[in-house]
Amino acid sequence: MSTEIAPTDPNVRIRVPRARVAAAADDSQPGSKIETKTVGQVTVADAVMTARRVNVHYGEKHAVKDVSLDIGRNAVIALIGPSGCGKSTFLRCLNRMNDTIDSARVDGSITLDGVDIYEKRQDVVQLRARVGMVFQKPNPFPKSIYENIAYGPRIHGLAANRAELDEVVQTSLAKAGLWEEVKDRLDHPGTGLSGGQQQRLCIARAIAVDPEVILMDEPCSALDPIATARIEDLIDELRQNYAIVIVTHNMQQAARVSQRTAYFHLGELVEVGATNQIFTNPRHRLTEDYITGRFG
Amino acid sequence: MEGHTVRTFDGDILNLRMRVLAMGGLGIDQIQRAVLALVRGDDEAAREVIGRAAQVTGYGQSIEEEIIGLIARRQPVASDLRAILAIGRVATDLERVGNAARKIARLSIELNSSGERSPLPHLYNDVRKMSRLAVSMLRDALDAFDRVDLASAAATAERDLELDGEFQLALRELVTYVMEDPRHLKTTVHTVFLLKALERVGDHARSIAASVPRLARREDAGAAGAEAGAGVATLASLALADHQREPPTESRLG
Repeated sequence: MSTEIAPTDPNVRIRVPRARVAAAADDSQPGSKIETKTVGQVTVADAVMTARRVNVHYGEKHAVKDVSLDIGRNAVIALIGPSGCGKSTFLRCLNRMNDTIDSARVDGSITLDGVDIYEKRQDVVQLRARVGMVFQKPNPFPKSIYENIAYGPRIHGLAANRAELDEVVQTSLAKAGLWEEVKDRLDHPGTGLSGGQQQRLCIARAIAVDPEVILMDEPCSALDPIATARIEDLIDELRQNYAIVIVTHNMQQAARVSQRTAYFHLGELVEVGATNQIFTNPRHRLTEDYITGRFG
Repeated sequence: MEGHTVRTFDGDILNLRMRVLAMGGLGIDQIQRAVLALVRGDDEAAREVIGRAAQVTGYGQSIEEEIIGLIARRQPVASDLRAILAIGRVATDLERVGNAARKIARLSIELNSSGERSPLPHLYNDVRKMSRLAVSMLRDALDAFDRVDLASAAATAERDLELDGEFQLALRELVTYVMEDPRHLKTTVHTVFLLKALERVGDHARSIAASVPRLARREDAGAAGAEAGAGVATLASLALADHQREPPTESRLG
């Protein structure tokens, strides 16, 4: 049995099976049917995370509505949409950052490597090491550059001795493209760096605990164009080793750094597709209107 | 195309389209004057057409500059980007129309100076008929471009077949003529170029008509009868018609 669902745009109608969504682990297989209003392919062949029918309420407010989406390995997915569309809220679901908000209620299932991250047994601290986060404003700890990086590996027991810790600090800073700039002043405070350097320090801090996924919430909005270009370049390099989810208001940035783009509108995931397709030939009218600057 | 949050962007695109329409008006006028100069044997008028040809080219260059500026400043994507590039293509077609008018004017002067009027006086009737057809196609194509009227654009593109038919007919007459008296070969060749120039104007009109679906936003394409596929289908069928038609024309000339 199937039903016609008319999303916000009457021109776009998709036939979807009414069958109940199977367990999340099962429908992470490519090609399996997922009940969704979203235009485009929400699944990917090599998913590190899967979100199925995720709903988020802040008290009375229904902030994220029935969103199903896969996060692919070694790829950047950009979440775009007007303010208040739920993209940041959805991002924060991926490492349970919404847990810190009392009124927030998250339904649906989200898995990391096939395991539900909202299970009671899930260690949230462990989860946030595997799914790291970089925020809009660089937020280094008020400690030395070295300690900013070493803190995570130390509490997660990723380094057995000082030599190993030094090694982790150096590789993390090198991966974040910061090593050459700070290697002679590792004992200086992290807050003394420039904005762009601070943001790369935060990225180095996230990758020091060996995550699988890095979430970025508008990581460049507080940076100048040159620092932004360096972060974008870094994102492309990091893609070799991590899955990256980036929320951005800058559509050119989404077009530049991502391989997939997801467009959110009023809490719904309207359309997802290859970035090139979204920016040249969007299928949903709302996506078209947003990226061509007709509202927002 | 209207309705951007940044309203000056709408103004920019509108301004661009107005310039293309003005350029089209000039192109039509150039063709009409060139054909008139030819039929009347008026060298003065023909030289005027040649003199004004630079204006058409100037329009083309300024439109290209505006498009580069728009892309640099606004970074258009999706339908906006397609529309702006389509407008650029229309300007290119109109530049070639301007070139055709200049060619007709030059040939008119040459035919006059050769002392011999057209090989067949009644061939001028064909020229007039072909020029009327070509100009009306061009006018309708630009009108469809202005109103983003997909149906009218498709109908205009269809009419190119008629013009091609006229061209073939005139060619056959000229072949007969030159076989009767080989001394007229030079004038005949000039006349063939002349007719070919008019036939090309029809091709450009068809090409302009083919650009119209690219100006339509998704909703417009839907309103014209079908899903987004409709515009593509029209373009594809036009392209197909192109392939079917081009070879015979070329082989007859060669």
